[in-house]
Amino acid sequence: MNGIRGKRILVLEDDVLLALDAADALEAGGAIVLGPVHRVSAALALLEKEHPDAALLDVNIAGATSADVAKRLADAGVPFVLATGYGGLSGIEGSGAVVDKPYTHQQLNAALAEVLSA
Amino acid sequence: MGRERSVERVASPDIAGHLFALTDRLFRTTAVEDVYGAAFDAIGSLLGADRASILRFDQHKVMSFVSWRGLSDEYRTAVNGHTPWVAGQREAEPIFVPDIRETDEPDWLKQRIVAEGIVGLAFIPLFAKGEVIGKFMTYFPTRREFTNQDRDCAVAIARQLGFAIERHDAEIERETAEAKLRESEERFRNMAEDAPIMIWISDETGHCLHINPLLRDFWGVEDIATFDWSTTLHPEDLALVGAKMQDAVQRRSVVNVKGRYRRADGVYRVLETVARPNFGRDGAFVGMIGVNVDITEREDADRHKRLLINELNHRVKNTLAVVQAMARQTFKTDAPRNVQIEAFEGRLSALAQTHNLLAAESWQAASLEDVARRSVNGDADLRVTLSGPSVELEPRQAVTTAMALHEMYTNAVKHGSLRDPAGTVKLEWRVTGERDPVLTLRWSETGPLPVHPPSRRGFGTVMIKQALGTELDADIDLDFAETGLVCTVTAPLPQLGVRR
Repeated sequence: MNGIRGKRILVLEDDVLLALDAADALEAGGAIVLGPVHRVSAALALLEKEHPDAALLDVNIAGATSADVAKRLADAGVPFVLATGYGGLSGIEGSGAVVDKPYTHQQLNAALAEVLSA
Repeated sequence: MGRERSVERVASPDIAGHLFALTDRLFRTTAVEDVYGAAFDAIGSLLGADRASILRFDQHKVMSFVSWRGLSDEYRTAVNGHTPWVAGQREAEPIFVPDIRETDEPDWLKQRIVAEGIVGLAFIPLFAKGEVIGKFMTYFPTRREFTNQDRDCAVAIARQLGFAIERHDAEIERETAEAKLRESEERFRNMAEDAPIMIWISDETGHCLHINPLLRDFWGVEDIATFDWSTTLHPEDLALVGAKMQDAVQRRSVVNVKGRYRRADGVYRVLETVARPNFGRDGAFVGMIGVNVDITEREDADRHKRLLINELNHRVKNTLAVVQAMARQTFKTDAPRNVQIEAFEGRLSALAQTHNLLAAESWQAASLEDVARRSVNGDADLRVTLSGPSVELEPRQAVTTAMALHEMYTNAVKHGSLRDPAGTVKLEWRVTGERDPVLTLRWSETGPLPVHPPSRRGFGTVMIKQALGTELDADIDLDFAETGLVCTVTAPLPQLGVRR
């Protein structure tokens, strides 16, 4: 079973290296990566044009949080996974799955597959 | 002084009068010296002795003279401590000696007594609380045949004297205890007044009866009678603190509770209260006595510490995630294993060096020059020249700049100008513009050998174009000129800006 194959997944991660790594993981799993974007404004701009099937959101983005993006996604019914280094506590309400950094490619893809199947 | 007079007998009908006079005087005395004086006068009138002494066991239980009439210093010194009884003895009979010369006492003592002009003498024990506490003695210059009446009078005087001494001692004891209590109360009051902690005493309903100045100032209390401490509690803490205090009052138990209280200036402070039940002398519960300590700073420090630890945990995990991504990106290339390992080690070292720089500045900032210097290993000021004003980078900017410069440097060593020993790099930066200052950083290589442009999707290119571009919000221009790479970074000056 591969729940992410062919799915369009937005990646919001401010660390370019981590974003690249996450994109590699998702693409290896057959997903189509939107972005990756590194700033909240870029993510919101991208959501004006695109409708992803799911999203991976880093919680802390350049001194802010991805809460606004999470809210936009939740309103649009798009499932998302939050990535955080705070021991699994995202601090964002209504969030679904949380992956704790550092995560393996397998953990990341599994978390996205799970929110996509829910 | 007529010797005749001392043997005169007092007429019996006067005995009652003299004993009354003694009793009356003892009743009125306040000083112990007056007690002794009254006794001597009674001894004189009832026993006809104008020489007498009173001795008491001192603190070392030595029978010592406390008052006397008609005795020389030498005599008292010689016989001091001489006693037929010991301290604390419960039974003792008066001893009457008609003529000392007829006794079995040692010769030296007999001689000393006779030398003092004493022939007849009597030892009458004094009692207080049922124990011998001393004696009084009467001395006669000639042989003295003691009558039953003498015995009765002597014992009556001794009884009265004992009572008076006992009463007097009790008075002294009470006064001393009272003074001690006063002193202790005063000491406590002074301590409470000046104490750097807040102290309060409440009645059995929890209403404050007394608060020390520190607490009075804290709450701004003007009238303690109408003051209700619970109105200063933070509404969110009212229920818990109120319940705990009430419980302690009801169970007469010790209580320890923290709460936020509004200070007189309107600021809420965290007070830790420790209170215990206060019992009166009769054992009845009379309220609580407690101290409040302002632990706001301690609480803040604890919270700050938790925050720091949490932040550190976050940073460590984030760094681990970066290292993990770095490893994946490094090892996914087709390069030989040893080349991959070398590249990974170089990148890890660049990351670690920047962490050192940031740690030295408490993770607040790092200067661009320090970052640049460490990114070009030992080549700074040799083949790589650095120049530019002092610019402070935020932690993440510092890390990314270091990683990007490290990639430029290793690329120059492998493929660029630094392949040749004569090759050089100029790393210059400047800040322009007043309102919205712009940082321009330029890496320009010059070398004799032709250069090879690196792979477009290589790690170095990602770090320079995307990571540095994102982190500094910069435009990145990469120009692979004949002589080597020229990279121009144009970014808004980081907010930390130019150091003074």
